[in-house]
Amino acid sequence: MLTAFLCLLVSCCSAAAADTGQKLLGDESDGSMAHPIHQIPLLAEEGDEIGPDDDPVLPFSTKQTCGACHTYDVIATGWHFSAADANVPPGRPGEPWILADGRSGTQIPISYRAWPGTFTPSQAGLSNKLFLKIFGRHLPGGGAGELEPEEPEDIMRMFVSGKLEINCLSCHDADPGNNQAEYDTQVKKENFRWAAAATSSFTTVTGSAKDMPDTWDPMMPEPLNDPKKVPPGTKYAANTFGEQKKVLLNIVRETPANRCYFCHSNMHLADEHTEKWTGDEDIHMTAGLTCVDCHRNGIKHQIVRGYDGEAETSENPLSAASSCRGCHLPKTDGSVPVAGRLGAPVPEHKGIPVVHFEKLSCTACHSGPWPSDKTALVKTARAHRLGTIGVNKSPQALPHITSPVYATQEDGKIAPHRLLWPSYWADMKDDAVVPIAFETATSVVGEALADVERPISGDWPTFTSDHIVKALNALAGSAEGKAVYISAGNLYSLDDSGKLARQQDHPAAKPYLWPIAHSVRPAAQSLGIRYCTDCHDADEGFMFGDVAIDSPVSADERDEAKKMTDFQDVDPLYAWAFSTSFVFRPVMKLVAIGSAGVLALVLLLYVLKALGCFAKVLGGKN
Amino acid sequence: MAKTTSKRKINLVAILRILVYLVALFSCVVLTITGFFPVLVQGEHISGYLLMIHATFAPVFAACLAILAVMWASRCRLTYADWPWFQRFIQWISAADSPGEETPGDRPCLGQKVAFWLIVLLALPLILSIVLSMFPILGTHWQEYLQGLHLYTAAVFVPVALAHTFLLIRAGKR
Repeated sequence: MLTAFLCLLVSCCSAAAADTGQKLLGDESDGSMAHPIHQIPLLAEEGDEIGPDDDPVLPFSTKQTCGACHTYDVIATGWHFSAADANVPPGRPGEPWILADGRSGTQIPISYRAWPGTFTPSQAGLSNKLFLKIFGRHLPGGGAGELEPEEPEDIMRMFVSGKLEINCLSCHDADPGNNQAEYDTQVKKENFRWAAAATSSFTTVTGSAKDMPDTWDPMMPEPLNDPKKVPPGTKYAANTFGEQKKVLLNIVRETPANRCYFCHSNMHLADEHTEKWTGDEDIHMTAGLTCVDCHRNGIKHQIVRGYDGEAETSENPLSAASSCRGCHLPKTDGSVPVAGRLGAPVPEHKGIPVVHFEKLSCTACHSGPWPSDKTALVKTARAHRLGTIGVNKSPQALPHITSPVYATQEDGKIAPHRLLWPSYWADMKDDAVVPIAFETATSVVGEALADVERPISGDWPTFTSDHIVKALNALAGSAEGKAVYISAGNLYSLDDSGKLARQQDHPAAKPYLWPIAHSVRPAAQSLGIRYCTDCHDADEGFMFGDVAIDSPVSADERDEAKKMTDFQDVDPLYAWAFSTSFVFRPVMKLVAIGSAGVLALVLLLYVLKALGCFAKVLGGKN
Repeated sequence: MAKTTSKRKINLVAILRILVYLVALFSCVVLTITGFFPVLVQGEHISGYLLMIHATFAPVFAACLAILAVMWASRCRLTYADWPWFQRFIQWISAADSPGEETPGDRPCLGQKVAFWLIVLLALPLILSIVLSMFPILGTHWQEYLQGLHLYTAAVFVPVALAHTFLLIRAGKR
């Protein structure tokens, strides 16, 4: 009894020690600016040390290998890995995952973070596993990759495929041979356990967990009778292991920009500058900064996102200092000067009325492409699988993201955004619109509209009203309420007579917008650098540009564009009148200066006369 | 005949003077309302339609002020008759003879004259503070100062203009 009590006491103490956050070797710095050399053993999923003579040769686990010195559970609370945690404040809306299928006319924004306008994977009918298969290519692991499966059949598959652990190498491996595209290849094969290791330059992974039966054991792999079904296998390059089975990993704290670019690249399709060499990088990069000079984090990986107001929800102590204002316009009322951080110039903004800084974000003038009379399509790494093998390079490939759209944010300031017009088949019950499960919608609608021609480019097919009616009739059995189609800002449904009815500007069809901050243009290319009419002109795009409405629905059944002012808290008539009045601004300045000149001359004349009088009196004259 | 022509000219000038004054007064009222309402009532910078109206009447007001300054400066010049105590002081210092009294006639009173010259003086920072901010010369810090200067100058200008108008009406009634 006493022994049992003492054991219980010891285990409680251990748990308490863990809870108090005892730090591992790599959780805090010793102050040295030099990189620690990571010549370390590789550990497998169960914690066993991997050697060149192992049988079977297992893939190394980042959770075990990196987790030996860096507390994995703390890292897992970081921004890149916490999307699936409902307790994490979502912060400012960001780029969603986009579920796109041209055949069924679907592009729907997905996010675990429940940003307004997005749908969670479960709302769109995606299980965690399906989400990983579709989007795991550009995931850093962790988060949804480590959630416990919901479906019973997925539990067995998880044993075969393993979990998608946090891939520390996707950021911290400075080895030029690290191949993030290989991650996509392995995720497609459901080789989750092997995916991180496969990206390293010294590991080769073959086979496919997807082809294995539910009873296949990765620890005791048995070859199958079918030669086409190759079990996942790992091979390490010769000379990988040194003395004591240690491996030299080129690990850095400062993530190279190349690693960030794999998930955070964009390609603006407005003009012929689509090749990398024809466009310029963000001015901060050109000036010598890297991504992580601004987007920093500690062991908790609460990375700075860099927007105004982030400090209110982020526990990162540098979040306020790492926004645009934080570096370029720091507060000067402290006891210590803080200006000039990272060499940031302090702008003077000569001639710009102060009201602009209340109505506009910094990015409105400095970020993204120069506004033109029409928005253009943009491709992003995560939406268009950029950097992976076999990507569709056509400019019209789905999904269609429109940019730049100058819209009013939650804080009331106008900022440049990217915009997605959602198109999806949904179930409407009592005015509530819920997407029909993705796989159901794509199979039913795909079959109903099999004869609709799809462009080779991957662009939308064209849906006429007959096509939509046909698809809605086919979906009637899959909807508990009324089957509807959301597209182009409209809700399409069948009326009582079976004809297509359209509700314009339906709330469920609102476009999803997210603010952008990159690429930042040089100061000499900022809006307003030439004259006020960079924006305040009825021919300029900032307020008077057209925002294309993207949809597979034929142009007869929808509007083709909206005005930029529709997305701003600005009266269009006022905007037009104010911009037009700038024609008279030079005249106004002339009149004002002339009037001031006349007033000054009158004043001067009579002051001189008065002085003359005094001089005469003091000189003894009358 | 010459006298009639001269009288007609004087009448035309007087009419023009009154007209310009009325336009200036009206502009001043509009500018005061559009300028102070957002700041004092809404607690924000002027913007929107109020800004457009303000910017439309501002050059009109400035031009009227310039015209009135030219038309009235001579009438409103300060004389010894306006400052008897000052005249005695200067005589005492300089031991000069009495210069004689100026005939007041229908000249403006001292209060009107002082108000007039204050208006002319205040109009300069009032106009220039905004005009200067329209050129790419001064940065945000100075833009804020200029905006404050415009606001506080206007806060003094408006009561002075009101006083001048009051004294003018009172003199007219006499």
